[in-house]
Amino acid sequence: MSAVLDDVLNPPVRLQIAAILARANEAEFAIIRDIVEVSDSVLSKHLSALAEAGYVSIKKVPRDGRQRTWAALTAEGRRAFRQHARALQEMISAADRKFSDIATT
Amino acid sequence: MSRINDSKAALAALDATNDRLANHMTWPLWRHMAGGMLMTVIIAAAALPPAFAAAAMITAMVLATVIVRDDKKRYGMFVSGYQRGRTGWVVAAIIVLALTALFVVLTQVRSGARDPVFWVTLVVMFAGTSILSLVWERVYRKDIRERLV
Repeated sequence: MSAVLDDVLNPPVRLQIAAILARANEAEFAIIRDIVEVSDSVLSKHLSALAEAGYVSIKKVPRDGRQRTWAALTAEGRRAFRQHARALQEMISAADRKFSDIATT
Repeated sequence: MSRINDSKAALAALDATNDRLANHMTWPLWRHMAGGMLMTVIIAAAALPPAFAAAAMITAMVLATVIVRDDKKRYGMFVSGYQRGRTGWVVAAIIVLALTALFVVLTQVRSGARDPVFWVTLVVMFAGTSILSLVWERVYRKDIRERLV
């Protein structure tokens, strides 16, 4: 059965956030921002969308007198991420096959 | 065609992120040794008299808490050893090593900390788990780069 694309994970920034969280049990806001290379507001917006979809859980933890935001991928988010990445890969492979069939005929 | 191009762009962004993540996920040697020490203290507890065993287990719990807290503070992330991908083989090797060490201390060590077998087993356990932890990191980073999720 072929995988289907997930609308929530369609924006590349969300896919990138999910990729980081799929590889770490949890990650702090600042680290995700630095790795994805986006502004605080952009990350905040996409994290909220992922949390709303139930793909990410967010918690605030006080440290050094400040509130730090930590995010983790939920089981549903993990499943959705794997399926979305597989769907992207399948779509590209199918297109490449089609292209090479046309080129050889 | 635009959908295909969007998919290619999304996967390219994913690969770039994975690359930056792999570069970020490096742990110093002392961190691997701390993990090795944690496993070694747990094995040592099995061969020691109850009072010392309890102290060793408390030490192991404190060490585990310190490691997790330090990881979170220093790297802004916590990554447990149990990950999908090829790191599972390294974790299996650590489990085999730990069970073997446990078997040796439970069956071969006769006089607790005075028995040389006890110390030799702990040294092998410490060195083995520290080295396997280093191997785990290399495999983990390779898995990230190769998009093995």
